[in-house]
Amino acid sequence: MLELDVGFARGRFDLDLQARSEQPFVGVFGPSGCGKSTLLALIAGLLTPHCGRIQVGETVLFDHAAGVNLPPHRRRIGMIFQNARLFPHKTVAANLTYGHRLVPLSQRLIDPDEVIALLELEPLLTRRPASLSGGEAQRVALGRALLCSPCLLLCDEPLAALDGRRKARILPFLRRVRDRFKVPMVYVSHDLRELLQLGSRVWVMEQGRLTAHGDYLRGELDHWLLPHGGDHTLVNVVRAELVGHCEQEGTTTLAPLGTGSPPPWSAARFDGAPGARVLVALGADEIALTPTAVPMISIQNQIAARVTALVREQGRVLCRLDIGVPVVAALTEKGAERLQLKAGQTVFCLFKARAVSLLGLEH
Amino acid sequence: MRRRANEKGWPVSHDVIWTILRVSLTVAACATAVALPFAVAVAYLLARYRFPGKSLLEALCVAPLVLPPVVTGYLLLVLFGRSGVLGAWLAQIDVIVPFTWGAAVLAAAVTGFPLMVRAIRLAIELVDPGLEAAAAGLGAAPWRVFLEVTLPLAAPGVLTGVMLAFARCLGEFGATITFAGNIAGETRTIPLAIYTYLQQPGAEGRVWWLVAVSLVVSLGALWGSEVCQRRLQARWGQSDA
Repeated sequence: MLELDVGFARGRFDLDLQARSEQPFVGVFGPSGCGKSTLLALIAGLLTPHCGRIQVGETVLFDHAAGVNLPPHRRRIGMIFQNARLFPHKTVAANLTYGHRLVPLSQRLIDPDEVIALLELEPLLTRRPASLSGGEAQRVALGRALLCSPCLLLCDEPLAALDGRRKARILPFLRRVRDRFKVPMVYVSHDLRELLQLGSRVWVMEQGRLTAHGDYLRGELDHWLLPHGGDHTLVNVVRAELVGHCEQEGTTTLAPLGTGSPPPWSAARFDGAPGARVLVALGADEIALTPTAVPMISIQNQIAARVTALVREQGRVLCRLDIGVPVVAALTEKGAERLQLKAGQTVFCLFKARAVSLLGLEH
Repeated sequence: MRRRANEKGWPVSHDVIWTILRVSLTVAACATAVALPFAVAVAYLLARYRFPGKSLLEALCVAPLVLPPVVTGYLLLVLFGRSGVLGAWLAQIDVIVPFTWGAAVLAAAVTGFPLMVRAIRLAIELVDPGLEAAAAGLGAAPWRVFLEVTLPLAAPGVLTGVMLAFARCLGEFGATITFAGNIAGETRTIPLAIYTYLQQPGAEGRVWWLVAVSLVVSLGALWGSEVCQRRLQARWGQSDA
């Protein structure tokens, strides 16, 4: 789907990266200034690599050796930026169709009415960008990018300018787009939790290099994440179905969506209709492990788990567990030693209902 | 002249005033129109690109602003005179520029050009290049980006430039009298006419008429551009809903 081999230097910053992905979603994760945005600008053609090759699907966008360098307007790449970058002199409707009308009829894959309905843009159509809120503007930008029927959607921290609540409201739209239109997406963020709500394939970038890549849920990033665990809060993002509410206990019961029928979780009460699909987060630090069930304890979630993998580094341990869904728990070496943790072992996973926090509704 | 003026030059023949006003307005309007495409091109070049010789181009663009207009006029005369570089070439195809209506337009265009470039360049520099990148990403070719994003967003600045240049053209004196002469009905604009009547004893009445006309025209142009400016801004700032 996406094949990258790019070298680029500007001033004291240089970027040298080889990567490929066959997945429809890639999250690019890394600290500020690591070259994430530069990478997207190179793919979009806004910057030109000094050497290398870029291919999206069947199309070679750039090939230094062969002298190929498609200009940005011929690359058919949709881009969403940190600020929406809507054209202030055009209405929302004109912004939306700006790219659409430039696409030859035969290549238009996406229908404006469908996008307008999906992103709930109908009431905004006659307005000017200056009167939109940040979240509304970003939705319009998303629709505008989709409507040029792109082969690839590049998202450059599209939620960074929004506050937490608005972020949670935009993410479902991004998931809808991902599921409905199946446009491959490269999503840049410095927030792992945000990335994991869209997909688990992650490229980690540091100082212009790809330092790790793989599927977060399968633990392929653990060797990189562990020493950096202090910098980034490790989190489990789990899809679940809302089963019901226990009003007296102040909890909401969730059934995680995984293989088999995972045991239900209790979460601190939140609003939502039974049957709704939700995404919840559980910090890796919030999980305690015991060899046997503890009969008398305030912690409400006690779930039998199988240890699938252990990664040890610098006195820290990451324990991959299977509780019907894959989760990761962070421990110290001492804690792991006390339990004599081994892969294949069965333990009990303890976490408070309050540790399970709602990220958002799935659709 | 329909009526002979009395000893104070009052009342004044309307024809004379109308002719002067017509020459002034057509010269200024045509000069502005001629200068505009060049000014937009040069302003875009200066605002968005770095190239060798950029400071030379910048200096050339500002020159008519800092040179005494008479000098500008003289240089135009040298350039377009029969023995001048361009003049000799134009003479071959029977085009004689100096001391014609066209010369008045050219003189005004050249002196108004720097003001126009300055205003438009500033406006283009204020257009977020991110918006241009976004348009390119949406499939717009560079010329389309320029026409549909850069230029409309710089429109208030372009309008200011046009207004300033038009006003400067209306007031143009030195370069015009040197390069285009003072030919009644052809190159005699309001300033040239005022100068001429000041030389004639007893023509103060006409001078006052012309002063009044020139005030009305200038303030009218200023007001017109204010209105356009405000409309442009209102259009972007508010919703149509």
